[in-house]
Amino acid sequence: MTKTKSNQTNKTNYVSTTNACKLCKPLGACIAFRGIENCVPYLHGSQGCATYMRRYIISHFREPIDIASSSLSEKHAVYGGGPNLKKGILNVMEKYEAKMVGIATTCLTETIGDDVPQFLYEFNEEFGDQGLPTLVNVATPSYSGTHMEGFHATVKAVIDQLVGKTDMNTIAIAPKTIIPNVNIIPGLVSPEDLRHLRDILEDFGIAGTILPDYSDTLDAPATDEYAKIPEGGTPVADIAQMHQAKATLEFGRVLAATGNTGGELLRDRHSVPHYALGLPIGLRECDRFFATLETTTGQPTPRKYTQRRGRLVDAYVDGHKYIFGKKAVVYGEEDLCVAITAFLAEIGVKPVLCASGGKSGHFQEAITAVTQELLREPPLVKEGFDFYEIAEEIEQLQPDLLIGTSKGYPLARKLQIPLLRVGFPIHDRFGGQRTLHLGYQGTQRLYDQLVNAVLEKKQADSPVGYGYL
Amino acid sequence: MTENYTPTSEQAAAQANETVMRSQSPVSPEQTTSTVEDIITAYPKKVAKKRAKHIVVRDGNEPTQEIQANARTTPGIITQRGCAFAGCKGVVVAPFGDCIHIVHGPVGCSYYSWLTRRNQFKPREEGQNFIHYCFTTDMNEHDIVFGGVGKLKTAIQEAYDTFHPKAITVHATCPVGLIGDDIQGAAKEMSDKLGISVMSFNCEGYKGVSQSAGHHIANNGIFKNWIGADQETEEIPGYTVNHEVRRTSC
Ligand code: SF4
Ligand code: SF4
Repeated sequence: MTKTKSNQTNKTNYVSTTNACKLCKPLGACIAFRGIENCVPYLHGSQGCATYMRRYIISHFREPIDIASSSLSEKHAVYGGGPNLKKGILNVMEKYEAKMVGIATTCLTETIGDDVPQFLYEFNEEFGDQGLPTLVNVATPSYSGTHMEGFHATVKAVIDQLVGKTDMNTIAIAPKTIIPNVNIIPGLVSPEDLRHLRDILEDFGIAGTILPDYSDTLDAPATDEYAKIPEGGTPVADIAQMHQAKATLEFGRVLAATGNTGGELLRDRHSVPHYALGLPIGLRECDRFFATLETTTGQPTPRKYTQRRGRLVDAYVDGHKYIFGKKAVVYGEEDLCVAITAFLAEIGVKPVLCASGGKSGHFQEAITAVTQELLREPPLVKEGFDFYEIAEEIEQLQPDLLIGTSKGYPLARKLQIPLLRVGFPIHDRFGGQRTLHLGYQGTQRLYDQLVNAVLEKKQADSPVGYGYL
Repeated sequence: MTENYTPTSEQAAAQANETVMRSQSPVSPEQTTSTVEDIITAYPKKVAKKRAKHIVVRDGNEPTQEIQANARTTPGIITQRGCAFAGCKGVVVAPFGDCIHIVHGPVGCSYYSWLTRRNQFKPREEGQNFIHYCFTTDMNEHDIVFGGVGKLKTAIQEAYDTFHPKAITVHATCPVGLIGDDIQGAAKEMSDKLGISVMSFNCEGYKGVSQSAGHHIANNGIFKNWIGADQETEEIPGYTVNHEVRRTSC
C-alpha cells in the first residue's frame, strides 16, 4: 500500500467505494440455491456475472459450482431476455436433469425490467407437460443490497414459493413420513458449521430441516465419477413441509431486525413459532441457542454439549491472562460481526471497531444489544464502510488484531498484526469452507486461535524469543 | 490524448471485414480443408469433430467466414466465458498497477475483478503502486434511476485528490450502458479539469461473445490514447517486450 494520504484530521465522507467490504446480491442467491438438493443456480442476465461468481465461490470453497446463465447480449438487453431464459431452462433440464432451477436476476435484467415471474408463468403454460423441474425465482438487483441480502431474499423466496405446496404440476413432492421437528435457518455459515448443526440435531434425537444446507454440495468428498450436481442439499420435499415443524430457529440479529425474513413468513403464513437468535458464537449466544432447542424439543441438552460448554468456560479462564484488554477490529457481513463482537466482549478483548459494507440500518442496535452489559466503552460501529475507510479509522485505534475475511490481509500486513480469518471469502488460506464458527465447539476453536495469534505475535516481536509462555 | 475510442460492434465488424477483404488468401479451398484435417488428427474423434468448427484458414474470397469460436454462448450451458468487462478491466487494464481503475457500476463487477491472479505488477523504483486497490462507484438504486455520471465524476475527483495518479481509467458495466451514462464525456471533462489522462472504456459486459471483446476494446483504447503519447524516452534496463494481451482467461 503506497497511499499518500493528506494529513486531514476530519474524515471525508467518500462517495466512491475503495476496496469494498461486501459482495453482490446474486452471489448470495447462488450459494443459497446450491444448498437445495438437485438444484442448479441460474442467473438471468449476461454471462459475465455467472462466470465471475463461480470463480469467486470456488476460490473459497475449492469446489466446482455450476451456475447457468441466460447469456444475454446487446440485442437481448434491448428487446428483453424472456426467450433466452426459456431456452436456458430447457438446456439446464436437458444437460443436468435438475429437479430444481433457482433463478436469480442480475443488475442487467433488473435494469431493463424483465418480468421473470411472468416469463416463468408462460414457460409453465408452454412446457408444463414435460415434467418440469421446480422453478423458484428471486429478484436480486445488486444496486440495492449486498450478498447477504441476496442470500436471505433467496431463502425467503424458497419458503414463499415451496412451503405447503403439494400438487405442483412440476415435480412430485412426495410427502415424507418424518415430520421435521424444527427448522433451522442459519444464514451464510460454513459447510463445517452446517455439519455441526446437523450433528447437534442428531444428538438431540430430533429431525430437523436446515435451509439451505450446502455442507455436502459445496464441500463434497472426492468421487471416482464426476457428478454434475453433487449429492446433498435440503430436499425440496422437506422444504415443502417446513410448515409442519414445531418451531423455526433463525440466526442473525440484524436479519431479525429487518422484519422481513423466511422464518417470519413461516410464522405469519403457517403459524410456525419463530425464534430469532444471534449466530451461536460465544457462550451467551450459544446458551440461548441450546435453551431454545430444549424448549422446542422438550429434550435436555446432551451431556456432550454441556461438557463442551464447561471446557469452553475453563478455557476462557485459562486464556484470559494472555488476551484481556487487547483491541480488535471486526469487519465483514453484519450478522457475523455482531456474533464475533458478542464473543469478544465476553472474553475480555475490546472490540474497537465493527465495520461492514452492509447498510441494513440495524447494525448499531444489534451491536449495542450484545455489548451494552459487558463493555464499558462501546465499539465504533460503521455501516456501509469499505476497507479504505477502515484503514483511516484504524490509524487512531491501533488494534492488536483483525477478525474478518481474507480482504483484510493488506491491512494486517501493513500494521503487522495478526488476522483471524472468519466468514466468507477466505481465499488466502486453506480450508475456509471447513472453518467452524458455531456452537461451543466453534467458539472454542475461535478462542484457541485467537489466543495463539496473540502469543505468536508476542513471540515474534520478542528480541529473546521465549519458548515457554 | 484524451480522446476516447470504442468502436460499436458494427464498426468493429466492418473493420474486420475490410481487413479480411484486403488480405490475400494464404491457401486454396482444398488446402484449407486439408490443413484443418491435419490439425484435428491430433485430437480424439469426438473432440476433433467439435474442434474442426473452431479452426478456420482465412480465405480472401470469403469475407464473411464463420468461426464457431465467435458464436454466442447457448443460454443455460455453463460456460467458461466471461464478459467484455472482465476482458477489458479484469484482464488487460487492471495489471497497469500504477494508474487507478474505476469500475462504474454496482459493487459486484469490481469486487470479482479485484486483484485476481492475473493482476501481476512490479512497480518501478519510486513508482506508484495501486494494485491492491479496487475502486468502484458502487451504484445504488438512485444512480440507476437518475443516472450515475455525477457520481462517476466525484469518484474520479476523489481518486485524484487522494492518490494523485498519473492516469485514471473508467470501465462501464452492464447497467451503465443500459441507462446511457455518458462515461466518455465524463472522462473527457475530468481529464481536462485534472490535466491527466482519464480514459474510459465502454466495455459493458453484454458486448461481444466473451471476454475477448473486452480485450479488443482495451487494446484499442490503449493503442489509441497512450502508446506513443509520452514524449520522454526513458531507458528501461534489460530486455523489454511489448505484448498485446488477447484470448486469455480471467
Ligand atoms: S452486474 Fe450486478 S449482479 Fe453482475 S456482477 Fe455486477 S453487481 Fe453483481
Ligand atoms: S454485469 Fe456485466 S459487466 Fe458486470 S460482471 Fe456481469 S456481465 Fe460483466
